[in-house]
Amino acid sequence: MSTIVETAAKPRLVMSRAKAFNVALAVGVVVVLIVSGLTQPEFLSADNLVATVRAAALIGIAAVGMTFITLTGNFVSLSTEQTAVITAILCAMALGAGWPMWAAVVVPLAVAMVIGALQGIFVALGLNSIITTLGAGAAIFGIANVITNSKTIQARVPDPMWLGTARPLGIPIQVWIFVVLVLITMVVLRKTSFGRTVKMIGSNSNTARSSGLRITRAVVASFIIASVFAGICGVLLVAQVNQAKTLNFTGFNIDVVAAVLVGGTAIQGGEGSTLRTALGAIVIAMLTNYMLLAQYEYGTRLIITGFVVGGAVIAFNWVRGKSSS
Amino acid sequence: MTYKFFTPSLLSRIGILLFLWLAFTALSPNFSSFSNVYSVFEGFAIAGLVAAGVGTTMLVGELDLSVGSVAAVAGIIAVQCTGFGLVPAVLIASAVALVYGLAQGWIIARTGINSLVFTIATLILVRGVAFAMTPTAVLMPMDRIGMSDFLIFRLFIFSPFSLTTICVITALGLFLGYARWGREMMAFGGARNEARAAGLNMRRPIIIAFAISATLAGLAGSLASIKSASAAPFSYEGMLLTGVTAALVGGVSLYGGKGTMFGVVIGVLILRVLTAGIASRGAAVYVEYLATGVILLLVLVVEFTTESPQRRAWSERRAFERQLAAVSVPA
Repeated sequence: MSTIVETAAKPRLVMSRAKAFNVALAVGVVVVLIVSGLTQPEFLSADNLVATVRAAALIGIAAVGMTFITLTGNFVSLSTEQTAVITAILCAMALGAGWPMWAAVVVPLAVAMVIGALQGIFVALGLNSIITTLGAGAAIFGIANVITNSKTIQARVPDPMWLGTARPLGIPIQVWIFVVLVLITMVVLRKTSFGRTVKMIGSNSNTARSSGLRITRAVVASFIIASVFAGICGVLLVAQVNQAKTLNFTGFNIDVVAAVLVGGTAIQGGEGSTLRTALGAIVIAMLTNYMLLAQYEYGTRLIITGFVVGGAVIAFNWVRGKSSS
Repeated sequence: MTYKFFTPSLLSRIGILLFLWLAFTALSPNFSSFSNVYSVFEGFAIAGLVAAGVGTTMLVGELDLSVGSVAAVAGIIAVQCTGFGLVPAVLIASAVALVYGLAQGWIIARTGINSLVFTIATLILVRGVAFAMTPTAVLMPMDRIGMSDFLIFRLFIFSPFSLTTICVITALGLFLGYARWGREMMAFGGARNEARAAGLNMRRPIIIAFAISATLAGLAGSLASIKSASAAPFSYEGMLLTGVTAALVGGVSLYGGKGTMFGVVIGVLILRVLTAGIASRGAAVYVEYLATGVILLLVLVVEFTTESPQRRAWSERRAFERQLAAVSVPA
């Protein structure tokens, strides 16, 4: 009897811990907000908040996509930055060549999809995801430099600018897209068999395989999602600044990985949510913005980011280790 | 000794190296000139140290992604310490890297956090330290510029730098092949569960591997920075890509336990000859980057089709099915 009681009690414990993570993150966001508002009054100015949420949205969109890769137990992708760069460049080139806007958005995103699918197939075969994406990132970045000759590509058409600068209800359109994508991915992960497969692969790939789940398909789909979401960031950037160059997204990989890890998605896969990643992205963007306002040196900012990410990884690992034993 | 040094895979790699060399020499006769061979070995000197270090972490089934950042910090330390003389400056920088590597290895071994993820955090952090050490974030010139002369002094096709690299890699190869702790690392990397069952220390191999990779990255960064008489916080970011690619090309398995330092040397030389060859054809720097990325993906696929646990399990299953079929037919 006692064993039954224990096993019955466990799921509730797991639920409450997952909730505790969300609450802790949300409390973190609020604390950072209050502390920064008190110490740097311009942090809470309307312009700065808009800039912060816009930055958070770009990091967040890519990070929400990457969460799928992390959930399948394939750690993170180190080619997010390069995928965003090449999509942005293709989009700017297409607009500059006079393509209609829908084609200039859809075709580069299709390219991003192919890039993601190729990496996904490699990883689903059993190749190491970090090394695959490292190599793919180098190759993509090389191609981006070859097709642009390392020069800035001008889109030359102001039409798509509404996508980058419009503010329905006073909120930048990037944030709307971010929120919608978070909601969709939350539903996908919780309510669809694909979402459950993704989590199952991460928590126990052997069980998933012997249960007849389609692992290859789910892993490839996860990489496609991550890649297309990174591509969306590239398109949004072109819409905002009307040009693209290979150095547009320098450091983006670090921010996106930081958002996923700070969000507390288990690095061994299986546990986590896109909502938490979204909160992680907001924390990282607010932290970066605050450090910029407080005029921290670039080195100091990197050190603090590194400590936050490392601390989050160790802390989440410790909490999970305690609870599972 | 039953251990075979020149395995078919190593011989084929030497063959590829010779083929590339002859091909590029045929395309541009200058390729085999003394000065070009010398420059190939100069590139080998940096990349070889990093590849040997990263390769060592791969041998124990882990991976150190923070080598580029460590090299940058070590370079800055070395350039700041040149007042003490060349050798002390390099030793101080490498010692700092060693302490860092021991700490990183200890945390990874102690917590059991996947090193791929943990070293992403330290990669950010240590790069931040490099920037914090150089407030202007620009090239930091060395006070005693004359000191670099010794490192670029030419002995036949070698320099003191490339000779140092060769000595260090040889020592590392002997350590992994013959020393007790080195053998322990190879056994641990190849079969972690069996190593645990045999009662091996489960932390020591990881700590030593990360100490080696950080120290070698520090040595590479400090020597290269003194050689160029300057240090910059943003340098050596491409080191990780080169190191991992070279180690894989040299036959070090990502699945642990398989590979030799001699293979790493061949791998680095293949990569250096290839990039030098591409450069000699007049291509831009980013074409080399593209080529390295493509090579990395190719090697990864080749390695997977020949070495991975999945592949091994698959061929075992096939063999079993074949046996089963042979048994069931006569009945």
